[in-house]
Amino acid sequence: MPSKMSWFNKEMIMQIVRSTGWISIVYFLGLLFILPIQLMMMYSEDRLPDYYKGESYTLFQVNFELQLGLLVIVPVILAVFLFRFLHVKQASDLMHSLPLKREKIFHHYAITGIMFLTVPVAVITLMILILRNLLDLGSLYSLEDIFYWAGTTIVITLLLYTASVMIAMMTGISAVHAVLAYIFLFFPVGFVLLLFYNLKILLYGFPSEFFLQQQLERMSPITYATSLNGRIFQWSDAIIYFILAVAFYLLALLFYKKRNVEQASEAIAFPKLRLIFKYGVTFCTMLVGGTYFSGVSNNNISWIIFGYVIGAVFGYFIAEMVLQKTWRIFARLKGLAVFAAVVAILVIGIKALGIYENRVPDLADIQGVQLTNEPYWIWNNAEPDEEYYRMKPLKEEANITAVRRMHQQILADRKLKHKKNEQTINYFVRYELKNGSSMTREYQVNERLYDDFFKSIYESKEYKQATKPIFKIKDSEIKSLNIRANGPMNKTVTLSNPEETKEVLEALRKDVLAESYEDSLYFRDRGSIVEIYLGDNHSIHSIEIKPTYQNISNWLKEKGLTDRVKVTGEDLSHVLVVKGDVSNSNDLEISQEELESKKDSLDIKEKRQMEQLLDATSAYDRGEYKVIFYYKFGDYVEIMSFDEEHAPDFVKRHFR
Amino acid sequence: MIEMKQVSKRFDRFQALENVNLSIQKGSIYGLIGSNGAGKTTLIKLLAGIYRQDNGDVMIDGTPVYENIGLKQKIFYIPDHPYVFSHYTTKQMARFYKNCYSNWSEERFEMLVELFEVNLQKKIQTFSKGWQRQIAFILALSANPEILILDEPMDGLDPVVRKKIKNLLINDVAEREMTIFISSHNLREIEDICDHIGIIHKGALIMQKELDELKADIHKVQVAYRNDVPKQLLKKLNPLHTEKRGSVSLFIVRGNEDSLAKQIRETNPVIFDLLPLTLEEIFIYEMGDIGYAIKNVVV
Repeated sequence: MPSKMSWFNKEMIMQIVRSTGWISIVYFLGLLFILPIQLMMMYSEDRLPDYYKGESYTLFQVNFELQLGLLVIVPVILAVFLFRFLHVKQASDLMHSLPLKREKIFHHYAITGIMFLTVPVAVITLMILILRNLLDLGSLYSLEDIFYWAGTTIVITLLLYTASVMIAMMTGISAVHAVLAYIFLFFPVGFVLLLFYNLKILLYGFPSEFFLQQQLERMSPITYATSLNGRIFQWSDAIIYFILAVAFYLLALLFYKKRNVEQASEAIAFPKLRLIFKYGVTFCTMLVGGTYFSGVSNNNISWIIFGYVIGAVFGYFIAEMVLQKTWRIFARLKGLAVFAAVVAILVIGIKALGIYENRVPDLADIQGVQLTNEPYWIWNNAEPDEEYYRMKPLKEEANITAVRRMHQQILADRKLKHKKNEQTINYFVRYELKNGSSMTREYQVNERLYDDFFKSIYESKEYKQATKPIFKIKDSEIKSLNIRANGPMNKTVTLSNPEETKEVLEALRKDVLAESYEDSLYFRDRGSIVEIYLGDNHSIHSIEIKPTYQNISNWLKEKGLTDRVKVTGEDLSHVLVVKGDVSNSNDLEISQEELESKKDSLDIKEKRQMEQLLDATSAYDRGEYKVIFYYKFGDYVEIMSFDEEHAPDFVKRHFR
Repeated sequence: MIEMKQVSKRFDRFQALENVNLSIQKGSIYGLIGSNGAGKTTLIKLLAGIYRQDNGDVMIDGTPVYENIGLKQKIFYIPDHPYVFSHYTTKQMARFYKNCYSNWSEERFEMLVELFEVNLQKKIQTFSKGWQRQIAFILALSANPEILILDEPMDGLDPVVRKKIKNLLINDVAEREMTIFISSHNLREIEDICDHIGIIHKGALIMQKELDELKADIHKVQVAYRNDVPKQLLKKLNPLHTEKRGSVSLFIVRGNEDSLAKQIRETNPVIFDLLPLTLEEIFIYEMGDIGYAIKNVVV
């Protein structure tokens, strides 16, 4: 009767349904309450959103936490229960004594599992479609939204499921299966994070911040799933996930065929994998130890090393305990010694050779260089305004040389200890080399130490044109301009005449080009603001008019606009100047009281002098003079500062 | 015909079987005797196609067993603790096997169920251990296998059921030329149905023999002489074992009964008896030193 022995074994499917079908039912019931019933409830209570949001992921926003829970737990647990027969000796013996090929057993179990995951989603989708018609929800959820929900849910659950099925083949204990499956799913993200963080500790200049700008969460379906309620699941990602799911399925089959039945109840089913497991766990916990102690000890190197050692020892023993299935493994130290020796040799080798840390490319090899403290703008983020903010690489030899010299100086200064409370900033250097590769470094430095180097770079035309959005905005893109005074009263002028906007932009460009490095640092947040509205999707760029910007000031004067866009002496009732040590309190009230109580203060009511002060100050703490501007408008008060160099003569005279 | 050639199997650091050679003719009942941990179950699982050997060949009718569906259709394996899917009744289990084994006979199944008076609708796991084993036999025999592999099958059965099952097995062997491979840690349990015996010890098959041949070939001799035992006779008999109780000497010797008797009578003993050995004694004397080590499995 060969016909009876067809590929499809009905009784086997029955057996699978009888033993694990409940998971599918629970999944279905879960989805039922989370989505259709919830939608009905929201409908009856009139809590549904009252307009179409135009986002495909709106269905994920309904009870998202619960959806996420099901999405992440059900597929993994399903695989654990389905393939439990591999992990129970007697069941495994029975299944493998039957006249059934392993492929056949595998496909029956794995495909039934896929049905368990997809059928509930399909039914729920159908129910939502029916609800959409019955309750007239067409204006809230489009057909595409509903199919987007179903498709995304299925692709992500399938990936989690097939990954878990593959892990089932690697182990012989169901509990270990579940744990390993989640570790495996989180591994790419977790490991990369750990690795970057630790390379930063190990290698001076390793640009971990820069790498972390990449969309790491995509690397794990679980971390990806956590943002499904606010981001679209891209086709490209879906295709990658699907290919991965197919790959895991086939790999699972391959491992199953290779797997020996007697490995039931072993933690790791393949002897060669045991070594990888053991040293993999040791390595990862070592990194965790180092990371933890670098965080809690404020980067104290002895504590970090202590963390590495403790982490490695813990990890090694835990892995041994899992593999040997006993906790009495403390005599098996040989492997740990070998591991420690290998790591020590590697680290000492890397540090001694210093190839990574000391490298500064030769001038002749460099095509271009970027230098910034904002890694976002180096990395190709798909931000809408990226094209305006992204720094173009510098190609002029003078600038490249200056960056190289600055880089070499930073390397020479690496032994410098940063003092407590010293303000540091993360600098990124990225060289584009002529051979097509690139080299990126990140350094935490006190910016002031490198002012000399940076001055020449900053003041170059090329640098300003490479970094400032104002040079990248085309005149034709501009829809309108707002020039707004930086004060409590509403002083704004809007320009939309292309002639005028063009003139403003030209004046600003000249001023920015002429600006010195010192001035760019000194003046912050006092001057009027020019807001540039672009035609496309309404993006805005703003630029501050600093007291040194002659061209724009003249233009405004010519047009008679100065008073309408700038804080002037007319706007102030009086100004108080105080010299000397003043606690740098953030609390405006206290600071104001403290300043007002000082004896030797200078109170100014004269218009011209007040305006002189407006042009000398910065919103940041700039020096020994503190100023309080009292506005006529409301009881508004502004506290700013200036230094000796910028102090007007009448102030100097008073405090002499 | 079942054949194992130079088969070895290793579990991590533990060598379970080493260079095992074995051959079993169709229609015979082969008993594998060994103490716990000797490698019986490993050998059985290799035969049943569950394990994959590291070295050597495990063949039935000239083809390897592992992942060979055509062959496995003809084999039924009952483990030492019969296992069924949880919450399955006998009927459901029968349906499952029927779907897997093409030689399944519904008629036979019904006949056996009647004979053993099994409640088909009761969940198998709720039966007692003895009953579960009987159900395993019913299911196995209903599949009409050509080779039945049994791991410690008589454990936990009362003598009446034991008898019943033995009869069924012998019946199948006689009628259909079924081959039975049966393991036990105790020779006595299976000596009445086996025609071949193999002894396994520490992963090696240390002997295998046809039972009838064994019994005919070895004897216990009690003799007494007026003087000492003639030296020449001792040389000729070359006994496996000698013992002296007072003036009576006891030898275990190999050879044909008649020729032995003739040789001894020629030396004019005062007393002479030629006695058969029990199976246990045969094994112990046959295997010399190892014989004592495995005494517990044959006694």
